[in-house]
Amino acid sequence: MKIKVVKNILDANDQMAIENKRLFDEAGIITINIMASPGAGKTSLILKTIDLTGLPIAVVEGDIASTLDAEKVGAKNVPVVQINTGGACHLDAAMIRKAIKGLSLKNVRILFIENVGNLVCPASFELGERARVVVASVPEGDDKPYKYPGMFSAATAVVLNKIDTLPVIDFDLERFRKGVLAVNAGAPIFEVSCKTGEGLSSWITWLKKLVS
Amino acid sequence: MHELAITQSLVEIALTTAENRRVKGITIVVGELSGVVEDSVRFCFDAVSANTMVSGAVLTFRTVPAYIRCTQCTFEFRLDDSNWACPQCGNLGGHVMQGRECYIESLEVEDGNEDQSS
Repeated sequence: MKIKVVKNILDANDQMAIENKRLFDEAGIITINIMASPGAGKTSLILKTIDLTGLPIAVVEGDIASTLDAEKVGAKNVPVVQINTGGACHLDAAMIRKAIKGLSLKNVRILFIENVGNLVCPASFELGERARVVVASVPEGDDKPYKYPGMFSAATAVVLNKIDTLPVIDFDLERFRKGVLAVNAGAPIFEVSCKTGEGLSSWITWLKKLVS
Repeated sequence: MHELAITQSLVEIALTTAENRRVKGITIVVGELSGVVEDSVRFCFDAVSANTMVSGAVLTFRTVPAYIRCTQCTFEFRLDDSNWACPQCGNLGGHVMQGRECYIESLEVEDGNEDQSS
């Protein structure tokens, strides 16, 4: 006997994400899911943003193992909680729900969720975020938007980090921009260096607009 | 690797929907841009479904091709070999019209009158 189902396979996660989003909306918190490959500069961008915005920020750190990133963020005296996925390649909505129970979100305006470093799997899992920011970096190469269209096409904004290395790395900026534009015509691209601070002001302006 | 989580959800939905009947087959629809790899789901399925009413079910995958609508001339075209340039006007940039699907379309379940006494 055939039963028609037509149900999204990730329906349970999607439902939980909707519930998370409702909680964040009620608390007046803008949640931003930061996704990138390992080492692109997700944590650096969060640390710089904490310094530059002056807005109350909290952070959920997602990693397979260790509390290294949470320690760096904690040193800035912002509420932070570390999720160790123990091998799982992405965060899901249930992990977020559990993690925020241990986080003081009173008066927080922005909650950054730093996803597990990976340009594939995190794109499939809604967390209840308002915006998805994909961080790419110059040393990774200019072909990333072409190779990972699923990730880049779902981004609200794209940050290209480590532009201070452009003089020494073969990276075709125009090719990168075209690649993002191809898969995602609506996403702004912020070209920054978290090391030198270059380009960060337009990122901060965009972020503040998102929050206002 | 995220196919493990996807396969777990797949098995859960099938078990809930089948309501204690043995599941003989599952038809899954995946878009070309969904990022779901058929072989990985098959690989995870045996382990995840073991000792459940879904174990041994035949998995059928229906792939949905990715179609893009050009943001400039609104022409719709099949995404071919990751080439996002519009074949009509050459513009780079489009909206994904289909190709992100990832859902269970149907289940084939045992009728239940032959081997279910309770």
